[in-house]
Amino acid sequence: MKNEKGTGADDNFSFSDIFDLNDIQHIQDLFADATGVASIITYPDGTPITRPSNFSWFCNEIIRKTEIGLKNCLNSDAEIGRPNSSGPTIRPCFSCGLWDAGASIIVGDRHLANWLVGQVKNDDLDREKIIEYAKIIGADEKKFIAALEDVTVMSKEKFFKVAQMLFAIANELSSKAYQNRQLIKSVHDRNQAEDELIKSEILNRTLIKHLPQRIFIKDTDSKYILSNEIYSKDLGINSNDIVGRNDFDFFSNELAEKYRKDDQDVIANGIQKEFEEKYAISNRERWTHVNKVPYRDADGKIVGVLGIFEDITERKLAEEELRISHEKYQSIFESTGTATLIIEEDSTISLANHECFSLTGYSQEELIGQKWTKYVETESLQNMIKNHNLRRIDPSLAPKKYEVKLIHKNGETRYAMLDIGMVHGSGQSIVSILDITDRILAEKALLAKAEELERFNRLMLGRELKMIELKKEIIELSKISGKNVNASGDISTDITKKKLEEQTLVQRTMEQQRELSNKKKTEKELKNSNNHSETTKIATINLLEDIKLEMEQRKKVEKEVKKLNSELEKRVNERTSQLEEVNSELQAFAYSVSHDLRAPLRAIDGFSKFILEDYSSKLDDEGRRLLGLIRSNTIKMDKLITDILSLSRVTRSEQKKSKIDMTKMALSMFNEAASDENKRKMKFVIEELPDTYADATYIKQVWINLISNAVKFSSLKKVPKITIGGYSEEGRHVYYVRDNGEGFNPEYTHKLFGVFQRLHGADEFEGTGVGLAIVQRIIHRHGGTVWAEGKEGKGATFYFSLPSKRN
Amino acid sequence: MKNEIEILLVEDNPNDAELALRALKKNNLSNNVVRACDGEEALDYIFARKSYKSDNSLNIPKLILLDLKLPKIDGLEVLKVIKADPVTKLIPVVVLTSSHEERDMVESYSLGVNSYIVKPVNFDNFIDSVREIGFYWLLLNQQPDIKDLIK
Repeated sequence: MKNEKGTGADDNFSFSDIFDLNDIQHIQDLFADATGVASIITYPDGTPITRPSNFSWFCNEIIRKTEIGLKNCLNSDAEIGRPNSSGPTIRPCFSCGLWDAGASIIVGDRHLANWLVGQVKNDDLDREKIIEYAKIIGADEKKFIAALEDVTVMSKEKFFKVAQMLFAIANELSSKAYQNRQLIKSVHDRNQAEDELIKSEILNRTLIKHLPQRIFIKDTDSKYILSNEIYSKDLGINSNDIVGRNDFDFFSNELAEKYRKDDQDVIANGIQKEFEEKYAISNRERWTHVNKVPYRDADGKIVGVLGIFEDITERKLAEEELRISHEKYQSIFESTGTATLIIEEDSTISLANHECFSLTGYSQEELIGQKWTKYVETESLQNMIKNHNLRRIDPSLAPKKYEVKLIHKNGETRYAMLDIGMVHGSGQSIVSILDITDRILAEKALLAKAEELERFNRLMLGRELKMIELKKEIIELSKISGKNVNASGDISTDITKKKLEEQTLVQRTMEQQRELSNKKKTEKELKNSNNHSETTKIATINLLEDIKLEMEQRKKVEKEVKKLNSELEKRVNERTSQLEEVNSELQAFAYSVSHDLRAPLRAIDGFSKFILEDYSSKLDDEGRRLLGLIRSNTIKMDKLITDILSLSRVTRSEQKKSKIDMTKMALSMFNEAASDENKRKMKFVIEELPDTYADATYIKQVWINLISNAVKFSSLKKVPKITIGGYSEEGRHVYYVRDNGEGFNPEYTHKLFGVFQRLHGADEFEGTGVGLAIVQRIIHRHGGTVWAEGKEGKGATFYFSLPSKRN
Repeated sequence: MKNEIEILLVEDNPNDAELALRALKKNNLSNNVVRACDGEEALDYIFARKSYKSDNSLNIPKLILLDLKLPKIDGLEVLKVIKADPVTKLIPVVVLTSSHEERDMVESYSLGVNSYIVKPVNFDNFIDSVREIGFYWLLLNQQPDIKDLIK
């Protein structure tokens, strides 16, 4: 037997891989010699493996020399050697008919060979039949018979014993070969495992040796078993000398105790410990990242602790520096005093400081991640985009500071002065934003005031001009008459005096100049003619009287206006407080309705239920039905109270207006109001609706009420149809909900929107008759109107309008 | 202390109280219920005063069901007192009221109420509400052991 050839670790092996052919030949020869039978070992198909031993002349030289004979011999060997676990196969040869016996050699589950013995004869065989075989194979009959005579004679009993022996040896061979094979395999596997172990051992050692981390292994008693060089170097010891020592040899008692405690924790609990700690190496403080894991033997038992240290001092320092610098940067960023943003190249806001909140109304969280352009008014945006692009080509191309308009969260426009800087080496820019709204508004107000003042001045000029002229005339007149007319100087107020000094300014106006020159002419005429002086004097006095009168009149009117105003104010105040009183009464009433009216209702329902539960056996069907009616009516009453309250709430509460996407709102209210079953059989159309500005909570209520009415009143139709539409016309948006349901008699249109007005019986359609009243109240409060169109049995359309102007 | 009180029911209306007790009973929650008829009695009970005077400085139910509209001291006032005390503020208080009023809700929540439930008129729904309140506050919800804090 051999085991050196062919590693045989795979299952693809042949007879010669397992057995040494010389050994086998030797065994076969000995067997043949000892027993006196012929023998050969073949492949399962009959092809010989060994040389024949002790073959008869008859078989070797006569039968196997013919073509048919040889073929039959091989077939017979294959057949007789076929695996048979019960014992050897013993029978006359399928070729010549001499006795043959065979056993299989099977290794594992593979049939490798047949061992055949035989070529003996005795009286049990039919000699004549054997001789006939000569003709079949075309052999020379004389030679055939002569050779047959030479064939060994062996009794049947003896041959059977030989066959049994063959079977035993063949089986033994098979089992030995199998064991052998398993042995080869296991040796091979072990070699391979050892190879790998060695490889991995080398790898581990190399790794441990060259890793920058400090690595050690300690036993359960925290004594070192192993460490890498860098670790033992830190401890100032040779890595071979560390074995058997413990931390008390290298560290302060306190530290060593701590290390020991960590080790024991890991060992006792089988857990991994990972932490960062300070570690003193040659009086230098270093930061280490420590990882201690249980060290296990091959059976998984914990036999120590494996520690890995990493020096992370540099990282720690860098982290600290980064943290400080980040904090510094953060605090500078936060304390610039102006709103400051960091904008990415694609205009996304990546950082915003607190000041941005007061500027835009959006919190830092809301701003970060948004496009910065979102907050800029459209007209400013074009300019900003242009600058943004230019700046990225060359920062000097775009102005560093410029003005934009921003949109505050509350919709207001804010004026802002941007100051933009680029972050070097990135597409980022730092934008600081100064809120100059107050300044701009102040400027505007100032401008308006200035204009008003100018208008006023212009107005006054006309009048004062007259005064000036008058005064001049008076002076002139006094000169002429030689009298002191100081008394008439009373009318010249301080302003007119001043204005007199500023006469040149007045004279700038052409018209005035012309007027002036005309007057001058008159003066000259007066001067020249004393006759006219009296007339002028009288005229002057008249004019003075007029002015006095006018002023008195005006004072009187002003007084009256003031009086009226204060009266009005008083009345408004009175009315307001009355209203407030009514309102608070109404609120108290509503509160009491919601609380006090509900309590008895709940009691009625609850106690009816008690009766149904506790006295059920004493009640007949009618009794139970009546109690059921009581209960369903309490629920109806509750619904009524709820509706009335929501109606009153419309009047009481303040409106909070915002922009509403009406198409979206109507659609979502339809989804809320219509059940899935409604939707399945219904045809529903919604058109694009104009957006509006109103109180969303209430407008939702309007949609819900109108749509659920439409759903309700069309529910009996085979194919209910609801259309929601809208359009804009001058000053208002109109919306409508149309259905193909029961409709109504147009004569009663005026009753539709009244409280508790129902145009259908409670049996037909449920309802409290408050829904449309609520709709009307909400729309009226928004300054809109409601109306309806319809015919009995032909569907209905309910319209409402809202003013298109925001206010 | 044996028979620890689980629920303090503060309800002035005897009918509503009967309904609530029946709803609690239906949900097997009625064993340890104390009913207070007004806000004053509720506070007397919690702070162990007058007829509720005992060795304990406080009576701590596991849950307080509080009506808002109450004689003498109203529900919001009671809530305010309970939530102002460092110990009693830990007791979950569920307002159980008829009022849908936004004002009451806002006020209750600003005073720190734990839940605000509108009593349904329909008794079946009322039973459901009480079951859910009991299940949530007495079984599902975890709260600190207040009795430990008093000692």
